[in-house]
Amino acid sequence: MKNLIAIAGILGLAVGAGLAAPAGKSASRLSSDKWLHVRVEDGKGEEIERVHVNVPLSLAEAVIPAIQVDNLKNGKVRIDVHGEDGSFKDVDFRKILEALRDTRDGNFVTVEGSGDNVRVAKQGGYLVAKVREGKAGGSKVDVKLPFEVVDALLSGGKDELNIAAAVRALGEHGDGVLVTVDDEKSKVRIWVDSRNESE
Amino acid sequence: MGRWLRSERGLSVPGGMLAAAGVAAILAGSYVYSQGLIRVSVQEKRPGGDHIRLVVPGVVVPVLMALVPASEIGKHMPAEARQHLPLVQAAMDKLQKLPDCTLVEVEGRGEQVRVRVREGLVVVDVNDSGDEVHVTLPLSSLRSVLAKLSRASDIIVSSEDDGDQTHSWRHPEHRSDRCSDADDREAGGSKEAL
Repeated sequence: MKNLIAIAGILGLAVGAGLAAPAGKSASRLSSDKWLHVRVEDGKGEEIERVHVNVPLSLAEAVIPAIQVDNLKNGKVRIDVHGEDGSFKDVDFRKILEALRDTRDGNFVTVEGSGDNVRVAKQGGYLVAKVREGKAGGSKVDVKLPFEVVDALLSGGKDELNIAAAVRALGEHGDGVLVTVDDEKSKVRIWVDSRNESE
Repeated sequence: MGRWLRSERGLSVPGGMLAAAGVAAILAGSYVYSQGLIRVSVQEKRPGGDHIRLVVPGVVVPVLMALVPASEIGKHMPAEARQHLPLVQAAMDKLQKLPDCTLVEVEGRGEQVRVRVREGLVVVDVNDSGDEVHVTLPLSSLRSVLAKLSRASDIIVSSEDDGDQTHSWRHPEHRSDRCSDADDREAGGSKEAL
């Protein structure tokens, strides 16, 4: 009888050992990780296309430095400020941001171009940028970034944005909507929260 | 039957062997279960269209990969694949720690694509006007494939550095930690072959 109990015990342990590690389950899930969500809606009515992307920031942080394509290398993206139309070549973003950091909340810098309006402000530790393209009905772009993230973004060389550092800084910051783009045909929303699924 | 299995001093030899075989079978089954199943389902939507179903235990992937020489994989590996391998490896480390989630979801007119992680499995669902495709891959299987591809890539890179693409031997001190034991055995085999 004791032998039968021993066999049953061994079989039980074997089954338990097998069930304890099913299909690559990991003991330490990144459930408390922050997630970057991107939602894009393109088109209208029945023609609409929706794209939802949910990426844990830790994954983005690990992957971005490994990307070596075109302008994005080693986690830094090179911006061609003297590009096709050279529209940004006369705008020194670093100086604008340095000036903003030292000013009180609500002091706006306004850049008025031909047809486009750009307003940049500091509000409660955030850099707020509003871009309005054209006149009524044109596209609207709203960006709200914590200053820590902006600092990290500009921590690379000249004409470079340090995306990897910005993602790291985002992970240390709270939840919030980062970018919204709204125009006649498409809507884009980028935000960070602790949920692993988009709304 | 009971007397056959038990002797006066305990289990008989056949009884002991039966118990050992039972434990071995359960352990083997548990291991296969722990590695998950690769499932592929392709359903053509046209009338009379084919429905292909494939279910393979994930545990066979490392075994099959061990049978394919890394040098052969390296020869046929496109440069783009080699270039993006570190990216996929970096992603894989994090993917294995993810909770269940939907990573990408695309909904367009007449087509849907969804990439999810479910209990250590990557689940890809594609549904368009022509086909319905479902693929389930255990991350552990993907990892063993990546380890092999990485080994193959290293061999090709070292061959190119030597200026001779036919040699695949590497110094033992340059072993990559990413390589599995099976890879090492295979590498040893190719070294001997040379």
